[in-house]
Amino acid sequence: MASNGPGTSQEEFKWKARVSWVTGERSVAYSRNNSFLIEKQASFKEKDPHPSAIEYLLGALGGDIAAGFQTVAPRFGVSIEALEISLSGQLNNSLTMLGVIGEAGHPGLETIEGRIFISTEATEEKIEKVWQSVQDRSPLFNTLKRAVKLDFSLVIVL
Amino acid sequence: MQSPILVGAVVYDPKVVVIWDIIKEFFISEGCPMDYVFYSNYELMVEALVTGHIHIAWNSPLAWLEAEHATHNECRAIAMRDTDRDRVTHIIVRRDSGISDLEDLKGKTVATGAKDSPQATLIPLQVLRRAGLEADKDFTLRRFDLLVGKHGDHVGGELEALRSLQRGESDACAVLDLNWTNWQADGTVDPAKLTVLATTPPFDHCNFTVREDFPKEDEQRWLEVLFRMTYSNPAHREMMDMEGLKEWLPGRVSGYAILDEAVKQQGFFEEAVQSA
Repeated sequence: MASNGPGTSQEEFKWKARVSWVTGERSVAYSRNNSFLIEKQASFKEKDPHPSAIEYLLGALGGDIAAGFQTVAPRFGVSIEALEISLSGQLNNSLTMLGVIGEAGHPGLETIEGRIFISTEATEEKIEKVWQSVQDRSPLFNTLKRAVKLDFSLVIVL
Repeated sequence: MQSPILVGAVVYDPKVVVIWDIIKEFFISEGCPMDYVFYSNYELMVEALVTGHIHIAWNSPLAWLEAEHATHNECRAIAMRDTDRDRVTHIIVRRDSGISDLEDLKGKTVATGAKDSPQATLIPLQVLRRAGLEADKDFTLRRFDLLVGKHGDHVGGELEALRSLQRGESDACAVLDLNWTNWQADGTVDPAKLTVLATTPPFDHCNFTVREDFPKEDEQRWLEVLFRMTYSNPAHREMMDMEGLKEWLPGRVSGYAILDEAVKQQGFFEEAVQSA
């Protein structure tokens, strides 16, 4: 029987992904029994066949937060009827990503803004507590907040 | 595999990469590989052309003159947009201003775009000079130096000059004909309040520039592909709409005389060297 008693070393769980280049600026990522296509680092076109890496990052953060609400809310006795998150991210200087000679700055994300729309009958105070707990427990929020300005707000809709 | 022909362009908006990706893909598909190199300002790009880091530069009219200056006329304008030909700039005033000819601008304030904008500053100031009006002597010049180095590609300075006229802080401003049309269409300008006082002679805008020693056969190969781009192709149309053209045309240099006159009169390049 496996045991993790005092003094036993415990390695952190590792999640894994494998990414293969497909064609052009398209790659495919495999993770456990799933796969998804990634089109470019970031795109300035109106339409593309697949999301870009930056869009996956924004989507992943939103998915992390949305799932967090579903996990945490019941523990505060809060029932959520609907939840939607809109996110937008801005690079420090996207021209540096394009390799524009003479540009200053860097191509990293500078800010991510998010608005969390929640439909619930719970009080605002209670929802704020839930949101704080979601932030405390979110892997991606905690990773990104160390590198990027995260500016999130809650909007309670009936 | 042939090495790609390197084409330089100045960008201020990352969306421009969409235009160049379409062009690049078409050239590759036509067996004439090319790639783009982006620059933050025209001075850097002209230097890259002169030193041979790029083969072709997508030059503003002022950058074309800079390239001529830097290469001692050892360069060629090989292609341009249909819309680069015969542009004009309007001097705009308020309808209720009582200003009816250029002479009435004496003692008034004239707003222009960035100091290196051919269309919104250099050429209109030359037209005023031809009419006997010297900036900061016969009239007050209010210049909006937004994104200097982009040669007025960014219309911000030109738009600020228009706003200053609309707010009554200036008595006249200079607006490129295409912007004047667009700004009336999108409501930026109320034609009942503003009117055209004078119009510059026609001038040409951007061109693709190569050094004189760029191989003629490479130029021919590249131009043949460029001229095969057509507005009837949906992919090309997307690019052409963004870049503001219906057709690529051969380059010509007959439309840069008034700008040449302006930069010589103003000692523009000498001033640029001193301030560098």
